[in-house]
Amino acid sequence: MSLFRSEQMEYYNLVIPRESAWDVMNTLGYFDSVHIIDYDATLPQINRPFSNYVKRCDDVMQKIEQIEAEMRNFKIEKRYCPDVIDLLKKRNGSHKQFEELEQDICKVADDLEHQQQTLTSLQEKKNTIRENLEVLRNAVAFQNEDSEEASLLGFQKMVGVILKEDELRFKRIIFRITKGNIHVEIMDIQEHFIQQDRRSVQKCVFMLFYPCGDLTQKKILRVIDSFSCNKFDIPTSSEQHAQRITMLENQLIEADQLLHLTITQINKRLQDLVEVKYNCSWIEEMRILITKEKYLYMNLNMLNMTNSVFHGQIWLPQGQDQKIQQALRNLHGNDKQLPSGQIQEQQTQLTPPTYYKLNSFTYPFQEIVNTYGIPRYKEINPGLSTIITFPFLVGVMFGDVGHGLLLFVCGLYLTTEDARKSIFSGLVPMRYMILLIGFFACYNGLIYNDFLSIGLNLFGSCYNLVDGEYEIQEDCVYKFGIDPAWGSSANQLTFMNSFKMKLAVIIGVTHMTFGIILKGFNTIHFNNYIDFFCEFIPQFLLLICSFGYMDFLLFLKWCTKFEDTKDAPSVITTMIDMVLRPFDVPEKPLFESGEQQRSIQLLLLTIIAFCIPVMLITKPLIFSLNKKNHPYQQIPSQIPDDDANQEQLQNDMQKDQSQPHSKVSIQQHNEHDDIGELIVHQSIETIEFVLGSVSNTASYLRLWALSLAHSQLAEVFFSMTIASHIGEGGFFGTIGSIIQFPGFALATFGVLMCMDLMECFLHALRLQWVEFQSKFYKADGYMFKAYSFTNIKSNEQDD
Amino acid sequence: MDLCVFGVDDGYAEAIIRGLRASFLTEAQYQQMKNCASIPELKSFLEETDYQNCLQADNPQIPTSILRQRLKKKLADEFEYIEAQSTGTLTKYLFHLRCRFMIDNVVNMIEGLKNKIDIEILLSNIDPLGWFPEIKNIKVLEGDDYSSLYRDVLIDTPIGVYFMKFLEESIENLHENRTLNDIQNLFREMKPEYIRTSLKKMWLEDFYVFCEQELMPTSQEVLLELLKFEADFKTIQVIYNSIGNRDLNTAAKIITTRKQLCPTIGNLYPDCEKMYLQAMTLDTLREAVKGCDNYRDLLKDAPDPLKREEFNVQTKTLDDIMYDDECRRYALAFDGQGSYGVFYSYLKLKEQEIRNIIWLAEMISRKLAKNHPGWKKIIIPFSHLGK
Repeated sequence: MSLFRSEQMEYYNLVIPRESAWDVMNTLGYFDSVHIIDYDATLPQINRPFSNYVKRCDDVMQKIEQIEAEMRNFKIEKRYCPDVIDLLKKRNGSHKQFEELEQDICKVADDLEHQQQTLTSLQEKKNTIRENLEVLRNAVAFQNEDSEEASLLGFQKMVGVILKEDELRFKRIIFRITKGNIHVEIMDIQEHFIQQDRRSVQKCVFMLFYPCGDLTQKKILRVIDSFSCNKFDIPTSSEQHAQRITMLENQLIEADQLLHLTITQINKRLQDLVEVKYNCSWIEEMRILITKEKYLYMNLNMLNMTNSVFHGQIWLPQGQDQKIQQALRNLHGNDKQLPSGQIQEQQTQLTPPTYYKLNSFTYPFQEIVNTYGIPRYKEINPGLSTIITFPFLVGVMFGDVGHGLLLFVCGLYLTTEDARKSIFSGLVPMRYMILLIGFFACYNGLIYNDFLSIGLNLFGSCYNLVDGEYEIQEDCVYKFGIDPAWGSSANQLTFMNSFKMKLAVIIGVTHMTFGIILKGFNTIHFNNYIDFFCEFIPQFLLLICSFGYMDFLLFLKWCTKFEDTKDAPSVITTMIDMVLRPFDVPEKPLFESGEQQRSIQLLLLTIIAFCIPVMLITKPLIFSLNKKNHPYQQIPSQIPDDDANQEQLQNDMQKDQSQPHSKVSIQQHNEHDDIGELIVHQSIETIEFVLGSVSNTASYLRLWALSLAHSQLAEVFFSMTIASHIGEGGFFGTIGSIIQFPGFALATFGVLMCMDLMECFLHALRLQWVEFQSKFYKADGYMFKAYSFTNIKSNEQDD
Repeated sequence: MDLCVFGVDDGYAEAIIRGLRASFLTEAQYQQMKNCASIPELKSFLEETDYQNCLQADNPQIPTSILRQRLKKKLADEFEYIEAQSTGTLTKYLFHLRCRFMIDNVVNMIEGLKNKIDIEILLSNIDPLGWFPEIKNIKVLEGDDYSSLYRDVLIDTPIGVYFMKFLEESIENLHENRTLNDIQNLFREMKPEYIRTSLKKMWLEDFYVFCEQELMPTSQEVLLELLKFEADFKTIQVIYNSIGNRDLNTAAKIITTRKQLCPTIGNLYPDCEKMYLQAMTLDTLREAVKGCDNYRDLLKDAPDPLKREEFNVQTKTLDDIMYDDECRRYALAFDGQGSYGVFYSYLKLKEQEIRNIIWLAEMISRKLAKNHPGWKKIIIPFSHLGK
């Protein structure tokens, strides 16, 4: 029953003394059934009592993210948490736990940062050594005769390293500043350098030859300085030169070793962090615990704090209060000193949230309904019937045994554990829907007798092939579905079309009638008898007497045996005549006599003609009469009442702003404007229903159209690829069909299993939302949002 | 016609800008900001807005200068992203927009160096929108030798052109038999503010020509209009500020300086030029510009520049009035379709927003009373459109 109507909700006052706020919230978090109402949704987070805690959680979270980013750099995989609740229960502490965690994480993060800094400084040192080394090595290359000569002539050298990307700018500025009196040599360093920000950059060695002079040197130094590059000295003698190189090489090796050591250290440290303690890596555990802490404080912030006591309003599903009270009483165990939280039931005018207990089977169907709108509190939930009607409607359009089976197998695979880890994990929540669609596609395929566009002769056809003509056997009925002999008949398409068309209309009328009946149940449940008599009854009669009658005619025609098919009356003509020429006796009656048919149809027409005005005017009439009955008594009594209500309403609204969509159930009927509005509303509704019953019925013809499209596509793909080869048989036929098979398989998969399935799904969605739900569904509720630690997910599920 | 093809090249960039429209702070948010009691509170408020990410790493007691730097960095990042997504004319156009900030940066650097402020501090304070690689090399500058600065460093930069023009003009104005020393002296005495105004004037004229020649008609229509107003505002500002300026003691000097600094575009030029160049009081200035649009109304509320000493925070200065009017124009241009005006407006409006935030941050850090008139001195982008 819980899916049929939403759970009964109760409104409670929650009072928590500040000292035990954390513990109470911690306890409530494990119940899956507390909906906390934000006392002032407009209040920014920062002005709430625990905003600094939330902020701290955010800060710690940032630290964790930094650590995790580092892990990704080192390609260390952490283990995700398979069962968050289990972990939380194991690690259940007190509110002081947070501080410990915070310290731990900060320490780890700081340590890591420290090591990082060591690493960067080492890296930098190494870079400098390498630069120096490169300079010296390259300097040898410059040491040719010219340079010897130059130094003899009083030219001086300056060597250093700059970024490769600065090279051109450097050359140009040097040229400008010394008016071309400097010779610049640039040598690229092949191996790239790793910068502080882990970017690898190319650098190059430059060597400047300039004439002696302080002014020039100063200028050059300034330029070099402005490029923030390193300048190195070159030893004068080649002996020293070689010495320096060996020294630097040794230094480089040392630096490399140190670097390597630091990296291993960091790596080890990070490895420690991913070690599994309970059921996941330490870092993941921290992430979950901090998330929980933040979640708890965020929800605690929804309560109003006055004098170190938290007041708040919550919604509970019926029957949960006992459990929660029990848990709160046991909160401090033997220690009676500490006060615990309390809940008290309260009367309220607020609309409760809509709450269904869902499982993985009902989830996708409820999701289809919720996408359209959340059911009003206690309204009949279309989600329940959707479980069968929706896959069935898709199945009607997708009807094919072969394709259905394929889909069914896909659905079966998705229900297995393997599927969660595969690339299809996104489809896993939909698995039961896919399974059911596959099943109903199979079922409808059997009715259409269609297996990848070929008929199956399962029960033995009732037709015998005699001289190329089919002859029917006496008193034989094909057991289930369409006789396969139709598959090879000339009028197969005409026959199937007429059959599917009729089927579509029958399904459609049944579906809509069902919707109207649900409306009837709704009106009874809400004790809205005006709606029951003024809307439900006439609507029901109208549909039954018009299209219900048409369905009846279809069945009647199917059950009647006509000697000559030309004598068979057309249902469409009958229906048109019924409306346009109601008083004529039908020429080709479906009933035993034309007179009988005429009188039945006249009766139905009378009912229809009677229903429309009932829908149109009774409801406004009753309202206006009600008002006129007490024109003077009500007004004085109503005014203070109204004001009080208004105040109450405003108060409620303020409290309730967390759910902007929530409707306050008491509606202030300002009846003066209301009547006019009601008349307009009612006439729109009536016109919509009357026209809708025609257009919606026609809309169900999409069931036929899509199923036709499906079967025709399947046939085309089959006949265009392997059909002729299979017919040919023998060796060449086999080879041919093997060659052609990929084409067939790809077309079947791509066009039919993917595109066509999607199309059928969308059309079924439309039928569900527009044709079915419009009959009864109000969809103006708001969701029950449980304050529950199950909302905390391990990272893996987020991705 | 150009509206049909606008989207082909520039549609994506425009779409991003349109999306960024949502990041502007609303009036209600400004109200909340005004209610903040301290800088940490303001910071955590900003963290709930679009500025979230750029502030997270800083500590709560953030100095206003760093705050400004962060906000500007965010704007620069957004701008850079759009620049990277643009092609052809739009890229050139966006680059032109950047030049204004580059000029500011260079002049700020020069000013700072003159005042012997350490170059590293100057470098950390530059506007990220106007960053270009050569800016580091301004260090090379020796003394006050701007011509060598131009010759050695700025010549290769995008704004080198403006500097060259500026130098040429300055040298031309000297007497006939000038010496190198004269030139150096001239530059030594020159005020950075003067350099800035002249460079910006050149930039504005250049940008105007660019818009006129390269952009499509719709963009042209919007932008030229905006630039004309900007030029007029600049003119008015120059005149206004030079009224009663002690440094310019003779009437002839005032007029030559004005002539140098006033843009040669806009609605006022050349028709009113003679009038406004001669204007020596606020009233004559009002008279000079009365022929154009609503300038008279703008100047109606402006305080008399001759009583400059009496100004205080409460005074709604000419700048405030002009910002207010500009803001309205930019907001209108932003909401126009299919023109490059939206990029320009976005930059201007965001600048205004940053100015607002910084102003409020200053107000908050000084702990001024809530009834202080200064709290009202912010101009909220797009607030004009609602009315």
